[in-house]
Amino acid sequence: MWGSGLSLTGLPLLVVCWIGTKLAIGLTIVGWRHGGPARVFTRTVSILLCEAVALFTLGVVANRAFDLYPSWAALLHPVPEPKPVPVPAARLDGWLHGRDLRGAKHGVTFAWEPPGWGGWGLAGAPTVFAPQAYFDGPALRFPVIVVAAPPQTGPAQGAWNDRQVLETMVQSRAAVVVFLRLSRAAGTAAAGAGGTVTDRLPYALSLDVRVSSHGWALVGIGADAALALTALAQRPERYQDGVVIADGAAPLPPLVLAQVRHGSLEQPRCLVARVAGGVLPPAVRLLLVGTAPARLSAAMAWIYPLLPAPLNPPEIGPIGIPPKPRPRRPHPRSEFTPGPPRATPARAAGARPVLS
Amino acid sequence: MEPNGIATDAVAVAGCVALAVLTAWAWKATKRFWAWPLRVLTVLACVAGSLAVAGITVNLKLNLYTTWSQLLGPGARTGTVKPGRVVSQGQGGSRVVTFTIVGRISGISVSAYAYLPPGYGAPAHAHTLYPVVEAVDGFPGSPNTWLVSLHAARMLDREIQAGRMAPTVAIFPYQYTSPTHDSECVNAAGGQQWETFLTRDVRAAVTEQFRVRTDRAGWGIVGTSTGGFCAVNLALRNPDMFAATASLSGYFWALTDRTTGDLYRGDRRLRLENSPLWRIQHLPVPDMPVFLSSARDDRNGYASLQHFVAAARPPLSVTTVLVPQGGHTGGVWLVLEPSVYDWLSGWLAAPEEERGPRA
Repeated sequence: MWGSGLSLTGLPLLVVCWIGTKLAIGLTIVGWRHGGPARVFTRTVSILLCEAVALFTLGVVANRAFDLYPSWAALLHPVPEPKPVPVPAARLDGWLHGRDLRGAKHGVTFAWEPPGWGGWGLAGAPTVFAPQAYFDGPALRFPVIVVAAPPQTGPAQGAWNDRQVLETMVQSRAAVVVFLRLSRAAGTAAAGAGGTVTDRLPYALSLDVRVSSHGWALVGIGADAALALTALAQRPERYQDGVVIADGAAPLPPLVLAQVRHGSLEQPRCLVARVAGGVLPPAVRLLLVGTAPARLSAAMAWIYPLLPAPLNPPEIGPIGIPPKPRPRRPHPRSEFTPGPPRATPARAAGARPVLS
Repeated sequence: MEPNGIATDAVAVAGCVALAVLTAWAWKATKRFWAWPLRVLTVLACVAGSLAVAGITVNLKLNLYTTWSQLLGPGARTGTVKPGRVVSQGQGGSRVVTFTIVGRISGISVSAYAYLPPGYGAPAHAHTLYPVVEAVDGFPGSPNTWLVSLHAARMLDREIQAGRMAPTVAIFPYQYTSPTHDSECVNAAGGQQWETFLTRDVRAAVTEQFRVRTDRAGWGIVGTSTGGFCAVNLALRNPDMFAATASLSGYFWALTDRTTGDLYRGDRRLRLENSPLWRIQHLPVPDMPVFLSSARDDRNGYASLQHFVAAARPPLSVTTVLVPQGGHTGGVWLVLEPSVYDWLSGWLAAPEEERGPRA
């Protein structure tokens, strides 16, 4: 192509245009008195030629100054679209839709046993709640609320009832909720090490359930509040908002208290909500709610309106490239084994819907 | 026949040809004393005609002026407009309407456009509060960059109907009172307070006039070129007001040139604080997701993007989308536009039901 030797923004083209303009004007002047009977026609063509060349030169000057079209290809060819990013199907979708009748009305709650979860330091398998809307949109990807609680937090300890909380969610906004019961040692270690569970969970969950890649929220309860804060600080590209809840049975750890300057946090019945937009404490809100069972519901009610809507995956990508990819942490080998969802039938058989 | 119409351009070209014919014919048509003045006049008319063609062609491309009143009227940018005038209507029921932003804090008042998504006017959504995307344009530019050149309403309709974006209100304010003066969206030292206008005043006016979310989680800001600089700068400087920001071919260093004038009056600190790149290198960074995009062959845009990505650190998170070529042009933004909307919607809080009566 002729442009390949004459860059659109280069000086040679500018010189050529300048000479061309001078030449056109010169030829017009010289040929003005010539042309015979067609003189009006030749003069008209000459004038138009001069104007065209001069305007083209002006365009080249402007393009060079503002760096608009850097190449002939950019000027003459359409902008190529980024390649669509293939979105893999969620492995548990088939099994979940098998419970469509139940899910379409109330959502489905089940014990989730992803490969390698035994190494996550949990006291039991995570409990996952797929909301009613999950069954309405076959491609929608949902934001996630991760609730991290000590193993002994429950009705017996005067705290909330998971089932009651989940039942209130049926009427609420669409989000996948994961309940984690951390073993005591694992909870402390996880918070200190940057949250092993909160690192591994997203990848494993995204293989099995249709979840969004970001806009997640965390609820940390009692001693596990630190886990929520650590994940918020270290994984902002994933976790967007969080709530820490003081628990009478397991008070907030010193790490949390050190970050929050509200003295009233010592009270056992308080809920501290962290608003995204700044690391604690500038955006901390302190909400006091009544009885212990209401605390988790209040946390959920606070965090739901901050979540993004469930959305179909973007058409083009790449989307969500972090600037500096972190080296992967060692995972149990089975967690990264490509292929069909080998554990799905077994898990499906063993899954325990909690919500009726 | 609008000033940005092909018909107008064709008429201008035809006029140019006619002037050339007239010049060629009139040259010898008279030998009286006014022959030379006539010749000079026709030549000047030819020059003016060709410049008009150039101007109209540029306007055709950039859509700076889409009506004659915008071009010739006294209060195209400043002053008030008839509120709620429907500029366009989408097939799904979306609308683009005009409204006025009276800057109570900044003292700046300009007209603006609002995209209201499908369902906004339906009784079923009478109490729904929508998230907001504020879209700022480049320089030279106007809201028409988004609404006409980038077909924003159509693109938003498409993404919302495809479920890739939640129903969202989009706001397109003017960001210059003069088409020849680039405000850079900053609070100029001793000058106009555009940052205050585009943050506090826009927020106040929009929440007063439309059913939108008022919290940070529901607001994002996006811009093209200079608007990209504006969007990132405003979001980083006001992290309590925006949950996400996106830049299409933007730059990240406070610019001063002939079009901006001396915005900072020698205040080096003020200039640095209005440089997003300097901010993320030297000040605590906010918890802010940033979307950056450019064409790889856009030398300045791509280099700016690379510098910003290299300097970014948590809790700031950066997403990049690049196209291989296209330069610094609307063609690139047109291709990237859907992914910007999808990305923003993925970070902004969803529409929510109003809990109490509106004030």
